[in-house]
Amino acid sequence: VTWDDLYERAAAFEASEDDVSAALNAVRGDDD
Amino acid sequence: MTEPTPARVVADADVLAADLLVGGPSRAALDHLRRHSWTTLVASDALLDDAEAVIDRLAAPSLAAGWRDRVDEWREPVDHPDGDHPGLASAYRGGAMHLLSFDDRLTSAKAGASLQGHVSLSVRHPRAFAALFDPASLYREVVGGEYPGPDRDPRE
Repeated sequence: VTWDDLYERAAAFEASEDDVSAALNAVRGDDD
Repeated sequence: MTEPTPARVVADADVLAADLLVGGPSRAALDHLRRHSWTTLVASDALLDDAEAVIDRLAAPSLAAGWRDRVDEWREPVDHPDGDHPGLASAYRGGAMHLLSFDDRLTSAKAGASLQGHVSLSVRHPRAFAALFDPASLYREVVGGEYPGPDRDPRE
């Protein structure tokens, strides 16, 4: 698989940097 | 422990996931590394686990699994004790001098000052890293000689 393939598949999902930060806080259990 | 060099970089899990799902500064920052085979992306399994979990939550498990396969081929693995912050521990155990993160608890001047006392580590938002990356100067420092230009396709 190439990065191009992955980016093409990822384009179907809308996410922002804030979404990513919130999801990582949830994964790491440090929502504060 | 690996001797620190400025060509060794850790992207925390937020930046790795944003490279895939958002693009923008995270992709621009990591493209600098993908374009140059003499740079190294350092990441522990725990760091990649976190990024994969973020991608799984925001997108789909199949995309997360495909991303994991690709990034596993690229990164240089590093071990650290369970419970350490995966980004910081990957950086200081893996000899990275740059840690890319959105987390202002890590990128704040205060955190930077306290980290500098222990390790030669610069914690930056990927936007700053992307803007300041100077491949010619870095090449002279870590490889030596005239910078030959990018040597890898960042989309492969």
